[in-house]
Amino acid sequence: MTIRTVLCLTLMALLAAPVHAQDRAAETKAWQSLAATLQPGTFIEIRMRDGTHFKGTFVQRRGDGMVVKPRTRVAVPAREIAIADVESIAPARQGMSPAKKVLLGLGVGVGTMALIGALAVAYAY
Amino acid sequence: MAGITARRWLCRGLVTVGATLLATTASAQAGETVVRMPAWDASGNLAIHFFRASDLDGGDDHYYYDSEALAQPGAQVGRYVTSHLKVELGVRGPMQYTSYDTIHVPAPLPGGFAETWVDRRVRVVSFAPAITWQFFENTFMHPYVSAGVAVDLVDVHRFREAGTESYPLSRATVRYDVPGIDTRETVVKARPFFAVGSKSYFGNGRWFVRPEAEIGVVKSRIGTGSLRLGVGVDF
Repeated sequence: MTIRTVLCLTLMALLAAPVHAQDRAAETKAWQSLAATLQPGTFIEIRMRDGTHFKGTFVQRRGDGMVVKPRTRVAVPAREIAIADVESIAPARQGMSPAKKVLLGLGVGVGTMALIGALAVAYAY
Repeated sequence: MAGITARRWLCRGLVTVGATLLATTASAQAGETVVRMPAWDASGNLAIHFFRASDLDGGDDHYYYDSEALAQPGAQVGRYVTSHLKVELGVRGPMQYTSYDTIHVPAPLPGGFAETWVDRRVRVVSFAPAITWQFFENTFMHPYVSAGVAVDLVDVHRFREAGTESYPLSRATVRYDVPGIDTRETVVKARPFFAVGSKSYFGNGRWFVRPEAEIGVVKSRIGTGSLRLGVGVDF
């Protein structure tokens, strides 16, 4: 790699960085606007810039952040999140509990097997 | 020999589980966290257990008639060492089935013996210490993998009423006496097992269902399998 190549790459990175920073600032502002429209009690899914995500209940907006109560099995304190750290906010819905899904799946499976068995017996005689 | 090995496995398993339980109780008291997660769970379950009778009770291998699939009730208690690692002790059974052994009795026949059968009424209770690793933290669904050693206490009742049997030959029918048999023995066997499943919670976050699939190793091959569904509670 020549010195010229290194210089070119460095220059490109330096030029691109402010553009990226401007994009991020605009996006943060957009998320702030969206957060301002959220009603307390809205169930949302939040993706953070560090890759983590969670679902929870929006409690209130606070300065450049917002307070969200995460939906966890054992209750945890509400989290204050800086909107600058947010990648995305989307409305979510609280679906059926995993246990009910398991039981429903099991019921459907057993029911299907019983139906197949009954049909097999019926056709055999 | 097999009995001694199995007892040794059971003792080691119980000592390991007991020591870990004591250690974790102390560490749980020392390390106070903001969110207090339940440290114990308990569940009852019902399984369909697939196995070969001859592997379990040491009876005759009847080839095509040897495979069994029986309902097996059970209960399990677990103690979290960390939010991911748990030690568990399961009790499974009783599970009962009937098999048979082929025996030879003296008879006035070519060879000097006749072949007949003895019923084997088998009752199995298993103790299964295990270590479980569960994925995710404080969610409503935790997949997990588990490994342990199941120690099977197999009560074998061999029974046959005394009587007379007959064997038709070309010229005449030969009759011979079959002695009564009524013996009991307890066979102890140990088998490592591996399981995968999930702890899936209801909306209250305490009660859960626990579907699980398990395989057991017998004689260096996969010798048993179980499909289990448990219902339990964290406390």
